[in-house]
Order: sequence, then structure tokens, then C-alpha cells
Amino acid sequence: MANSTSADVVVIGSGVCGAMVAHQAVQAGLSVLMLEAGPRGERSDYWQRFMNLPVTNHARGDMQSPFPQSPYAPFPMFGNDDYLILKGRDAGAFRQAYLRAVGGTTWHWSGLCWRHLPVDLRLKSTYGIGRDWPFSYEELEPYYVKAEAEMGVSGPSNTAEHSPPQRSAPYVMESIAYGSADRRFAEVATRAGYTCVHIPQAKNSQPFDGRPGCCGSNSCMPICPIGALYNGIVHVDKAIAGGARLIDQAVVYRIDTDAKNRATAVHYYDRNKQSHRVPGRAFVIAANGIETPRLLLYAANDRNPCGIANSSDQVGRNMMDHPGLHMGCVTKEPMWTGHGPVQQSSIVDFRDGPFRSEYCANRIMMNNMSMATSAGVTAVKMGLVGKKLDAEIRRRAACTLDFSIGFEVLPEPENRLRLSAERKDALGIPHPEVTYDVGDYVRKGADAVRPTMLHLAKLLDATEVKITDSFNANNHVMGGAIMGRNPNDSVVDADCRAHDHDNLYIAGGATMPSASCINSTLSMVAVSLLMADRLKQALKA
Amino acid sequence: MRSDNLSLIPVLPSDPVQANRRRLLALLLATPWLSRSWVAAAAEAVPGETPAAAVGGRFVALSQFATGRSKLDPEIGAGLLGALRDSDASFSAAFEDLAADASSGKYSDVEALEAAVRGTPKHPALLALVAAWYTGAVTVNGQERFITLQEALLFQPIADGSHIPGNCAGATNSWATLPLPALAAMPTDR
Repeated sequence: MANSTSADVVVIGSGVCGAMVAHQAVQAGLSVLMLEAGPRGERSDYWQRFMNLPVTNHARGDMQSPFPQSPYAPFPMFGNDDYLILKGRDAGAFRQAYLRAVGGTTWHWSGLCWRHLPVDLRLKSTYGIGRDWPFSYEELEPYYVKAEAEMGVSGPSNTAEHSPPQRSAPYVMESIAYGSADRRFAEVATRAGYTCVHIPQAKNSQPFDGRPGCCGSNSCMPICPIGALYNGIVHVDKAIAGGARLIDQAVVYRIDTDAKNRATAVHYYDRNKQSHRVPGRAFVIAANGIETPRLLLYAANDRNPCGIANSSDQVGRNMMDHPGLHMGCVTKEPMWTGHGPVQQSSIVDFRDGPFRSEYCANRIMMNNMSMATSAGVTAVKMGLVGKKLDAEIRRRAACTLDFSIGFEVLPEPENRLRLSAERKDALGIPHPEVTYDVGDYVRKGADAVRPTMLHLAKLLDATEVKITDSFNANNHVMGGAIMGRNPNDSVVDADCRAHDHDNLYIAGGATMPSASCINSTLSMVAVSLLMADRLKQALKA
Repeated sequence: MRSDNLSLIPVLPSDPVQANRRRLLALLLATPWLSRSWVAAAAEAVPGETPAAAVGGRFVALSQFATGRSKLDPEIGAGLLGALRDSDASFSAAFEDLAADASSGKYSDVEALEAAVRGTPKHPALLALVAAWYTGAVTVNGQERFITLQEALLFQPIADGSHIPGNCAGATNSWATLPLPALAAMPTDR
């Protein structure tokens, strides 16, 4: 290492993907510096802040407020956020809740670790829609195995529940047991012919990797009190233990390039707004699906006037998430959600089929989040008192169900992140502005799933059935620096290396060419691990 | 970027309910808007009891009647009372009237009191008091003032079938064999 502010590999972002890459690099003997825009915090503080939130924040699913912001690294706040500017037909469907903090947004994730289906990587060639990935599921599969091992994914040993069935290794540990609500839902759905599975997730069903088994706090989002849920901080600490260095509250804003358009250094502002230059041999941008394209666009220089890695004009385009709908209902018999992790069971029958040439895939999941706070707030608002109030709280807490339906959105160039021309942060860097429309492919898919949802409600003998009519975000940000073989229509190649800069890599969801309909983190990590291998090979060469 | 998010210093109360009771009672005592009747009530307090303690006692007594709970934490009560006063300038007067009603012996329970005060200024005050104890928070000037989560009464009617999210429930998979409480089996230890 040349000096204290240079490294073989400079990783920008310390979320799960950046941390994984940093860990892989130090294990290979490379010097690594992680630059994180947000602050470092402690689990106990986050938990304390969560438990000191007003009950209405709990009832409304506030995942952001437990996490303090750095003055120079704003992120979307719960409620009236003014950081992420949203426009377009379905602007509300992109209201993301990500963090800028050491360890990243997996501080408050559900931990669900789905794999893409093999066909999800070849949508264009199979169904004539979307894009194909530049490599196959078979090439990615070993990295899925590795990602599951690193994070400690629990999943069903029953192969009939594997989605997809193409696996070369068993899950690291058996699934966490269902609580009463998931058990009942799975029984009813299975009896009716649906394929309902234990969702694989990065939560310990037994002590693993120095972390304890799940204690059923039912607060995976926003914070696991004991670390039974995997968080990116695990690999941040592993990377540091292996020799990596971390600078928090370091906001990268500029990328230097040489005559060959190789990246030579990045510049960051520290917590005192002092600028520093960091040279390196290779650079990895792992700043999440929104902050990565924001940085690439803002870091435009003379040789790259439209932004770093943006000769294709694809940086910031193809923004994806999983547009969601919810179905709420009240069952006749008590279900008592809230026992065990927040999400446990899912119907996977509609992840694939010939219909995908016309409308999107979906996954239907029963939320196992405790309904206690929402039941209490709702019953109080009804103006009840005394025994009627207690009875209504009990009925709503025990019998209210919420289903989350996630849809597969396609990469569309017009779903685009730009730098805001109107607002800048405290460093003078423009806010991200996203224009978003889920598209007819998703809208048709939403129409198609409604009869299924009503059928499920009927099976559960439920009343007060309501399906939301506007799409919500799911915080699974993808796109923005999409991967492909053609430098004219993609940002990075099959190694996740920028077509324009042969020592600049992008890790995370920003590179993914298809969203599938399931939570994206495991795929993001698998792709990042693939990228890390290619990076190590390149540096050795 | 909003200015209230510019600091790493937690903006949330770190130890809200555990605030010293004596300090809160002292604050109550120092407040200028104590009505004549409260002062009178305080004057009737037992020897050695401060006027503020008497007011706090009346609030807790009314709260016990309004919530049907015999065990209510007076420190939480002090926090809720302060927040209710801050949220609505008319709460103090309504509280005084409600306290008198509750102690009059005319009403067998809160349902009867609630029915009797409908359409009067006492009604929203009663509902606000109940909401405060059940949610552990009060909206003051459009912002929620957090007093307690762990002691919010909304968790009591479901204590046999649920727990407070964020608290550990037990050993891994212990929930797999939990019995399903019936709706009619309301916990009795409230």
C-alpha cells in the first residue's frame, strides 16, 4: 500500500455488496479501503431508538427513523421525505427506504434470500420481453451457494419447497419454524393446491458464525436486537478484521480518469467537508441502486462529459424495484401473526409461466408482522373505551392479515434517475430524481392476480378484504448501471466491469438486467461475489 | 435536506418515561395554569402531600377509572398529563370535570361515563386520555410526543397471544408449539 489513503481496491459503499467484495479482496491479500458516506452506528443504539419511537411509527412500519443521518449523506426519511425526488405516473411506487450507513440497508431488511429462476436470466430469448443476462444461471449458481454460505441462509430441506429446484448445495441450516399464522396459511393454501414454501432467509435457526439463533423479536425490520438476522455489518467487520480500512462519513463525489480512461483516484468529502484524494488500482462502486448512478452522473469529467461509465447513456436508466400491492383482511378465527420472523411463507406458483410474454410474474407472501400496534391505533381511533376497546384490539391483532404481492417490473430506459436541477444537498450535490412508471406489463399482472387473492381470502374465511389500488415500493432497488454484452446499451460487462473503464467495477443491484418478482439481495450478493472473483483475477494478471 | 436531520445526535428521547418523577411533579407544581379547583383539591390533600402530587393523584385515579386498570405507573401518568395539557389548552378544565364525574359514584364504568359525556367538551378529553394510555404517546403541535412503548396499554389485551415487537419472544422456534389463544379468552391480569 502506497500510503494511508490509497489501496489496491477502493470500495465505495459498505453495504452488504461492498462489504462482501472488500472481504473477498482482503482474503486475497489485496489492500482495501472502504469509503462509506454514512455514519457507523451500533445495534443497541438503533434498537433503543426503535423502541423509543411513538407507537404510530411502529404501526405504520417506520424503518428509517431508528437510523441517524450524517449531515452530508442524506437518505429518504419516513413520512414527508424531500430527499428522493419522484416523478412520473407511478412515482409513489419508487418511494424507497434505503440507508446510508456503515453496513447499509440490510440493517433493516427482512432477510429473504430468494434466487432468481434460471429463466429469469433469459427473459428476452424465452418470452421476448426485457433483457437477457450476459451469463447463465448455471454460471451464477456457485455464487448463489457462496452467498448463502457467507450470510448463513436457512431454508427448507424439503426439495419440493425449493424455488428454483436447481441447487447444487443444501441450505446452510434448516428453516426457522412457522408461527401460528404462517402454519395456518400454509395449510390452507397447500390444501387448495397452491405451492406454499418456507422462504429461505438469512436468519439463524441455530447459532451460526458467532451469531445466535432467532429469538422471535418480530422486528427484523427495522432492527434485529441480537444479530440473528444477517446484516452487512457482519462482513464490514470481517473485512476490517482481515486488514481492510474503513472511513465513514466519507462522501465520494469525483472520479479521476487518465488518458486511457482508467480510473486513477476518487475524491471524497470528510465529515468536516474537507476533500481528500484516494488513488487506487481498482475501484468498486457499491453505493446502492440509487446512489451509484447518482455518483456516476455527478462525477462527469472532461473525458466523460455525460458521466462516468456512461458512454451508452444507460447510467440512471432501467430503474427497477418490485412494485407491490397489499391485500388486507380479517379472518373469523384468530391467526395471531407476530410469532417468529416477519416474513416466512410464500406462494410461488406464479413466478413463471407462458403468461410472462404478456404480463408479469408475482410472488404472494403472507406478512407475519405483529398486528398489535396497528390494531391498537386503529381501535383507539374508533373512539372505543373499556371492554369494547380491549375486545376490538384483541380481534384486530389476532385476526388481521396482510399479504404482500410483489411484481416483476421490466428494465425500461425511461424509468430514469437524473440529477435534480432544483435541489442540492449540504455538499452541493444534486438530489436524485427518479421518473417511474411500472408499465402495462405490471398493470396487467396486477389485474391477473386479483382473483387469486380473493380466492385466498375466501379460503381463510376472511372479511373486510381490501386490495390496494396503487403500487408501493419494496426497497429492492435495481438497474441504473445495467449489465450486458453490448457496450452501446449497457453500463457494465459480464464481470460487472464498466465498459468504459477497465478498472472500475460496480457491485450490487444496479447491475441486474432483470428483477424477477422476488427479493433481490441474494442475487445482488451473488453477482457481487462473481464480480469479486473477476476483480481478483484482473489484479493478479 | 431538512435541518432537523442534520445532526447525528439522536433526535428521539433516549430515556423518556424514566424521567425523574420528582422533577415532573415539580414542573407540575410550577405551572401557572393550575386551575383554582385543582389548587383547592390540592389543598385537600393529605398532610405532607404537595399540590402537584395531589393533581397527579387525581389524574391517575381518573385514568384508572377510564382504562379499567388498577395498576398505572404514576411517572407515565405525569408524562401523559403534561403532553395532554400541551396538546390542548382546554384539557385541564375538562380533566377537572371528568375527575369529578369519575369520583361522583354516578357511573359504574367508563362506558357509562363515555355515554353520558357525549356531545360535551369532556368527551374528546376522555377519549384523548384513553388514547394516551393505550398508545403511550400524545400528538402535540402535530408531532407525536413519545412517553412509553413498553407500558402502552394496547399490548395488555393481547398479552397471551402476542408480544411487543422488538423484545425477544423466546428461544428459537419456541413459537412453533405455542397454543392459539381464543378471542374470548381475554387476559385477566390487567
